[in-house]
Amino acid sequence: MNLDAIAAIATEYPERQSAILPALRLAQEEHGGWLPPEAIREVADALDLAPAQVEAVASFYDMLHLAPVGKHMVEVCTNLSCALVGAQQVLQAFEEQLGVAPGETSEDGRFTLRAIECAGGCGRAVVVVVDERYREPVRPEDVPGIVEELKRGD
Amino acid sequence: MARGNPIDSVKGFGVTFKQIFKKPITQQYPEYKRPVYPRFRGRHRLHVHENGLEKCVGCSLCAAACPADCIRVVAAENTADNRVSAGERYARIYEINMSRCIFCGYCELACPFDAITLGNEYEISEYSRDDLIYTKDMLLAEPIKKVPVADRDLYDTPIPYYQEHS
Amino acid sequence: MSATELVTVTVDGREVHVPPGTGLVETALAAGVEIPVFCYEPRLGAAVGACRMCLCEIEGMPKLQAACTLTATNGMIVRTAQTSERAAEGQEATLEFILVNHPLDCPVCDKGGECPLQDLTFRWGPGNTRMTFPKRTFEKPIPISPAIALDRERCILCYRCTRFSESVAEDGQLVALNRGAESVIATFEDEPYLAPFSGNVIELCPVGALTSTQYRFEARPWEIQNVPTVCGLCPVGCNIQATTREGKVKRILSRNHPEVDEGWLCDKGRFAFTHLRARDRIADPLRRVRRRGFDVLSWDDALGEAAELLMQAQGRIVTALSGSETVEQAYALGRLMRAGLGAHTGVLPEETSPALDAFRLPLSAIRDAELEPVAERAPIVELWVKAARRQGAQVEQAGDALEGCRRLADKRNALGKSLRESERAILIWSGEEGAGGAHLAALAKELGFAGKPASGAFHLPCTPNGRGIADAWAAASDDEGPNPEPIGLLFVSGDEAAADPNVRALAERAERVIVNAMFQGLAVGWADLVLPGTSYLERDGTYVNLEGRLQRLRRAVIPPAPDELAWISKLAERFAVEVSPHASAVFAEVSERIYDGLPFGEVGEEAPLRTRSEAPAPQLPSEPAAEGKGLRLVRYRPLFSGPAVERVPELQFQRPAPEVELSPGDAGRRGIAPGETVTVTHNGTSLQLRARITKSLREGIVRIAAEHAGELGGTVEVAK
Repeated sequence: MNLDAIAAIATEYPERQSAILPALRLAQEEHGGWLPPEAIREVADALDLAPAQVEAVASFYDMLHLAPVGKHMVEVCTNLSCALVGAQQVLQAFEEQLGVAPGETSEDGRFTLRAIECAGGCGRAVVVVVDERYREPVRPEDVPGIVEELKRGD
Repeated sequence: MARGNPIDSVKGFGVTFKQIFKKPITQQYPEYKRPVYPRFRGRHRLHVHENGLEKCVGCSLCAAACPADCIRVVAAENTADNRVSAGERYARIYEINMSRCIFCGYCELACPFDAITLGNEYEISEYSRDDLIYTKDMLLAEPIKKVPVADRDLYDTPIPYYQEHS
Repeated sequence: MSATELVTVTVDGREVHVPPGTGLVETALAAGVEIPVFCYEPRLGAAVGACRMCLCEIEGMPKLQAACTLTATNGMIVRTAQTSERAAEGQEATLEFILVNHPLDCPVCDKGGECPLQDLTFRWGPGNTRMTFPKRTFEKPIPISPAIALDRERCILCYRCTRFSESVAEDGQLVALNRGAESVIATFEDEPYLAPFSGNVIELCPVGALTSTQYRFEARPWEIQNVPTVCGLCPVGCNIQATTREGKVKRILSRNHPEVDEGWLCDKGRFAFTHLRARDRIADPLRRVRRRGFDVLSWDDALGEAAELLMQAQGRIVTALSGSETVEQAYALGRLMRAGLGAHTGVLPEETSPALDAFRLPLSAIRDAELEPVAERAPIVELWVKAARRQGAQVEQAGDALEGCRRLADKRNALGKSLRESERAILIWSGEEGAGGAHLAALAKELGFAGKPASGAFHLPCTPNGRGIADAWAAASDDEGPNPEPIGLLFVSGDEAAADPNVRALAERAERVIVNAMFQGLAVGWADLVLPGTSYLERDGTYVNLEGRLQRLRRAVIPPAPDELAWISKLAERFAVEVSPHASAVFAEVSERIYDGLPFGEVGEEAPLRTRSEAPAPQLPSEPAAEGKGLRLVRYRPLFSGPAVERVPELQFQRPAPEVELSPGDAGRRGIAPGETVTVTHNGTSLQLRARITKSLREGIVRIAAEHAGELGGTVEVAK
């Protein structure tokens, strides 16, 4: 992986520790959306830190994944604003359509469904983040269409 | 010196005289054993759970509570193939030096697992002091009756004394 | 300090005057009020306020404040739980929260009885629990290293251990994973916590979450005795408590000496004590029969035999000392050999020089320095240097002793120039080329350190008491004698000497050999008579550490055989020399000669440092060191090595792998990647070792642990 890129990131911060987060994002992109232990070790080596320090950061943040994720990431906001307009029903619809519970990846490795906290789109709730793009507002009846679209896109 | 009233002496002998007509209460120990109160504090016992595991985890709290310093506990860790007690730890060595014990029962109070209690047995004299150090095996087992009893039916009182008088 | 520089704080109605910036916990203590804490520990750096135990009401602040995170300001009015109902309520709630998931398995827990959580719950906590649901459970215990067990159920997430790992030891291996309620303490991928100071987290843990596997279920606090003594495994001489139960050492705890160790111990000092119970420990005197066989002797016979061997040698005796003897023992041996037998030849473990005494400082001065050229590291010195770097000191690697000294003494050298200008500069050096600190003293004199009380120099010897035994041996007699040739008898004192290849080589030339050692493995095959040795935990006496501080060693447990002083005294009697078997009496004699009559009783619990003493500093040798081609090999004695460590199963994972350390530049030029097997060659001999790239290593130098370096030495070539 691109150690030079990480080293370049590190120069922009006064302390090496500060570069962990951007370095991990880079590593996650390169490792198919999640961070295997090797990726954490590589980042630690590039920043001259202990792997445990990097893992501590990686495990803290919600958008860094320490387990393999599917090809498509479907994230449903279940925080207050979205919950008030039926986020739970949207989540359930996804569960039925994809056949997985929140936090799980479908057996064929195509979809990961997650329930997340506020995504910052409260004005147009319910927010569903599909592969880092916002779909808003989503109603339970929109769900089959989204899933269909993703399946077709493969 | 004050001189007593001679009548008082006669009164005193009167008490003695009355006893002549009473039935004597001499009991033939050891054949006859007067029962003790249920809360009498005698020889200790260690207990096991219903599944056979020892209740004692070897925490040494009994030893800490003991004013006579007569309990010695050495703990060890339970392993998969040698599981002695329910928790992580068990008493590898559990010894009570009965010659020092004052039977105060603090060990029983201190025990967080009700593993040690004081039983009713009091006939624990020995010929050698070494034999008074009770090991864990002895404390876990039923007490051995050592004092000979000729004929139970003939001598042992069926009704405890305190019940008789209440 | 004048009153104007103090601030006035009112704690629970009591006024105190403290310097500004004093932590509130200390301020309250000055007022006689205790603020309970779990996570607060000033030695770990800035307070984090993680446990919330120290909640206090402070006038002018609407909410309860974590006292540990605040410092005293003028006019501050603090009300602790003792006078403020809100604070008391807050503290009780904190304890209730901490106990929500804390298992109450105190009878099983090793911390039970000496547990801050138990104590504080007893004093400040709620009387009973309102929690009826089952507690959270984890798999337990998790061995985070062979020496440390982690119980996550008991952890209250105070982050003391992770703060130690991150900001004191700076190894960063112990961290908190996940977030919020799911936070757990862990190492990376369940790898062992492999760091030289890992054991300190056991002592820092305020609950029973991190416990020692050696001490696991061994004893409870009311069954133990703590003996205050000094660690005898390296020249730092950390102050320790030896916990004993039923005549056995069960664990070693630190005994904070703020000038020496600041309460930290290395894992060797903490875990190596089980060598006392090593399987090959010698308990009886042994006599060689045939080549490798041994007969057990009675002490009377052994002393008779020893006296006969000493007599037969007719003064042609060489005494090899190991550097771990006490001052008294070395002096007694010196009296026996030198005054009794006229054998003045002693092989000292290393060169020592009194010249450095003129630049003496406590180890804690390292932290407060601003400029430090460092050569090698001793365990606790490393923590002081790290502390200095965190406080902004400039720490420079300065190369090996002789060459580095010469370079820095040069007026044109930039680093040397700034050393001359700095008021708080400290030189830290080690290695055999340094002539026991004499070169360093010459350098310090050259740099003008004599007139700067905050500047000083440290030479790190290899042996725990090398300095002390050299002085004691010298003090034993005023006479001198020639070196015997051929050697009639070699007397080997101590295990380090018995393991030393130089001493073994000397034994080849000796007709007879007496070895005084703890372990059979070190004595079998070459000694004619073996006298059982004792360890630093089994002796009474004094040690001199690398600062030149006299420290008191106390007997923690009775050794399986009489200690050295006892039989040296008996043996000396036979040669008409009077040596007391009691350390106090022997010290009184030594002290008259070399320690200005300091009484034994004053070598106290927390020994003070003797003042600087003037000694003539020698000149730096001028001839340049011979530079060979290739890479210079540094054979180092790793921290986790030696006869004691070899006999402790819990420390085996800490021992160095067969590796050669290269600088990144040297490795790059040779195309060597980390982890590759390389061949190290010197004069036709070669060794296969794994390569390791160390960024802090200077170019042109490779490092190999002495135990893996075999016959290599001088300059070597490394190739794939």
